[in-house]
Amino acid sequence: MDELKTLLEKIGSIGDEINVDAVFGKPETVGDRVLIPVAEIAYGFGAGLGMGGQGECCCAESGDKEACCCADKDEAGACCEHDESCECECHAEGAGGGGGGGGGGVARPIAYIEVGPDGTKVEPIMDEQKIAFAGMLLGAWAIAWVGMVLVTLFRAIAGRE
Amino acid sequence: MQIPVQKIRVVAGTPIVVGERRLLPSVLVTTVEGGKAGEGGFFRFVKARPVSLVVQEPEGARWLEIPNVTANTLSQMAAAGAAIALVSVLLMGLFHLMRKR
Repeated sequence: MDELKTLLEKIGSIGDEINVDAVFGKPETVGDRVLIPVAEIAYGFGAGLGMGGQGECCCAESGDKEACCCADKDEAGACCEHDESCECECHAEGAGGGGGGGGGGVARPIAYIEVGPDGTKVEPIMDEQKIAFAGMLLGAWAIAWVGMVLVTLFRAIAGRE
Repeated sequence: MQIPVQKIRVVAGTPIVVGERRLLPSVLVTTVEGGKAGEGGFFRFVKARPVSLVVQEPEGARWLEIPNVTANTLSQMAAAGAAIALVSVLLMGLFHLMRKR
């Protein structure tokens, strides 16, 4: 279990080591210009581990479980003796643990820097697909609201007549 | 369970040298993390967004903003959607009052 904890601690420190320079790509020379891609990056990860059970205490010689008992739960594996005639020991059966984790990341280009003889400029990159989809949603949203307003208006006019 | 902690900071990147020009990038790093690696479980979310660039040229230094055009456009569209809803609700309230009188 200690190995698993160490592994999780190492995974947890990944974020500290990832350099912010990942946002700016490697400069590429195209003709007399140098282009530097710029991206927005996001990543996340999580992990967890758990332990359950604490094994069973039983008499070392006879295997009698009634003769011994497990001590307090925070002292996993500790046995207390009911019957002084036997030596109690803990068996790992019934104790267990596990862990798991996952993560993911995304990088999206948002601009490129162009360094040429005429100077340095930033050219933004628009995600047209996302804008088009949002535009369609906004259109549907607007039509729905206008429809509701018109229905209310017609009802108001009919109510006055 | 620990409350997740959010940290926002601006970090300077490694200078990029192109010919006589020296580019100094800066990045806005947002981190949300919770739990502890050695104690049960943890999670971490990191987002790095380029903010600006300082260009050092023989003629002098310039500051260039790196705009996120897609995010800005989406924000404007969301604002327009909210405005449409607000105006519509106001109009519907007005029409209801007209009907009652």
